[in-house]
Amino acid sequence: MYRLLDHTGDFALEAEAETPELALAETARGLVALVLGDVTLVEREQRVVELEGFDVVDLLVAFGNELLFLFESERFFPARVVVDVLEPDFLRATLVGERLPQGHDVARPAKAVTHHDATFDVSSERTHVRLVIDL
Amino acid sequence: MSRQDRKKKQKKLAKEQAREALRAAVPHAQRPWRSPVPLEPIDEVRWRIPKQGAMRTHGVVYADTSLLPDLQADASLEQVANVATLPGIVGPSMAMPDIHWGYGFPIGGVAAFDLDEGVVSPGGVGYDINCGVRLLASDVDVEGARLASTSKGLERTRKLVDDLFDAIPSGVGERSDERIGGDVLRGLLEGGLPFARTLGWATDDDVAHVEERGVLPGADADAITSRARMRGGPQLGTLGSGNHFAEIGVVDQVYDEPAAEAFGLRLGQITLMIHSGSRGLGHQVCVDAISEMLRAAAKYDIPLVDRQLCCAPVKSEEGRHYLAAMAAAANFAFANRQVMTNLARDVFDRRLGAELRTVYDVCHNIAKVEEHLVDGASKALLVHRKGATRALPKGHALVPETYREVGQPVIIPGDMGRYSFVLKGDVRSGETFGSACHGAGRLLSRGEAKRRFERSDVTKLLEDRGVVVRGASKETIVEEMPQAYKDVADVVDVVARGGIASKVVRIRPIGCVKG
Repeated sequence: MYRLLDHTGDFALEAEAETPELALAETARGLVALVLGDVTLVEREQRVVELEGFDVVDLLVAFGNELLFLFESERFFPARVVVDVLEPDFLRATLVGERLPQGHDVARPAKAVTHHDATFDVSSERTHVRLVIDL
Repeated sequence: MSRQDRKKKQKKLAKEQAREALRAAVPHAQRPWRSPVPLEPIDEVRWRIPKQGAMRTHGVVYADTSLLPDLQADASLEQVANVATLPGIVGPSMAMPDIHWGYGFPIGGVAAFDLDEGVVSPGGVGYDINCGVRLLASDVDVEGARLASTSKGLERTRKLVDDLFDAIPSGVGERSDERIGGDVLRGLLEGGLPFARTLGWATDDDVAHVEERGVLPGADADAITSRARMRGGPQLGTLGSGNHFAEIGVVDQVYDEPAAEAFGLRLGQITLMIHSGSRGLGHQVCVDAISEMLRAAAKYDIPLVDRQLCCAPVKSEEGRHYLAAMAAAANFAFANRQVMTNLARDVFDRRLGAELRTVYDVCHNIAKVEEHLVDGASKALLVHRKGATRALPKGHALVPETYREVGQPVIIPGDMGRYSFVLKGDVRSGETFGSACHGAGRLLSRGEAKRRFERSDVTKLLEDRGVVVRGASKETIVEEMPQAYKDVADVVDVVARGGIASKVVRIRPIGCVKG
């Protein structure tokens, strides 16, 4: 589950799931929704991303920025995200989705995922994440 | 306990340990203030945030009592105090009257740092490095161009705006039709506008009327990652999205005739304003740098109240590397606005038989080494402007010769329904390290603007006000509705009363291409 929250010039994204891996997948869904709006994506091709981070919050931000990089440089948007490996300083995820054609409607820009107020709270029951996105 | 149960228990324990490791977070230093942040009046347009906790200096906010309630409604004042915790800050942490909640630095934040003791923070520049605005003046007026707000005039304006919309690629990830080679990209990154001039893309007059003459020193193309080149290289000559725009306007008020004449502006004149930055290239430079600066902050033991304020000493390896990459991205942004200028020149020539002359081009998001007076002596400082405009007074050596008798043009875009202003740098701008506001400042969040206007025909609403708007995305137009912004006249009024910059002309929009 994810939700988009107001932040004066930008947007915040909160995601929640049973595990850290699923919370990251929800984060990806939220970012796709922020940028594309309500669009159904097809699983045509996949990308595997491997990221290193200073710590898990840095990884979370890096994961968001990796997605934005793929959105902008390849116009690749994932329909499904599976986090294969999540360690405190390393993450590997498989993204399955499609490349949208140039000129495809995009709802909203997103320059970057910021570290401002970024959180990655893991409990034994649920994981909550929060990000502020620069638009 | 059976062997199978022990295995299960071990597996569970390992999982718990892994979760425990994920809980470990970098410790946050204590933020000095939480909202509501106290403000002590200094005079009618300046307010002091008292030094407390980790703050190394106080904060100064430019606002009057009419703007204060909006400032206190979010966390932007906390962010002014947070910036004051950074090492080597000189003078106060400042906020211009268009301040609003950002990430790390507030939007509208200005802070200067000592070159030996201070730091450079990519978050103090922002993701859109050298996002800025260029004002172009045409050689036709609204009557001569027959763009007046009659039905025929509106139709001609629609055609002009449509042509601009077709000519200047806009929207998320849009790419330019032009493909540039690696050598040209390197030349632009390191040589900025003067290099563009050697390609025939800019005139001497263009170069002379751009902040820093369109090139920041110390730029190193090799400091830009391949990802940044891949992301933004193909976007040269594109507007981008969000609050970026190309806006056709008419000078509808002249406040200072001699200064207007010096800037080549007159009543009724058609103008064009281009607001854009370094596109994906700059965004990626900042993303790359922040990752590096988090490590640097740990390495140099710099406590952070907000991770987005991560930084490194100005003269450290990390600091110098970022400044070289940032300068290259800034040069790319100067070139980007120049390429769009040329696209717009073609459209104005074809549609109106008009020429466009660069009045001035200013950076909004930048960190630059500049000389300023500190305790009566000139001192080189690294000035961060995050959503702020340089504003130099008359006589300053960095003001173009043609404007030196009056002061630097300070271009302050408003919203797309009301007006924008051109100011000139004034005598007290030294108190803000030569900085003024950069726009109106947001009043409503994007979400709130959407809730209020998404069911409206926003294009028609604006056309009823005499403004023809085209945009790559309806969402962006809705989120950028005039009501989402403060009245820029109120913001400019504070800057003028504070003696930072004074009004020269007002420009009313008649057509706008939104990203």
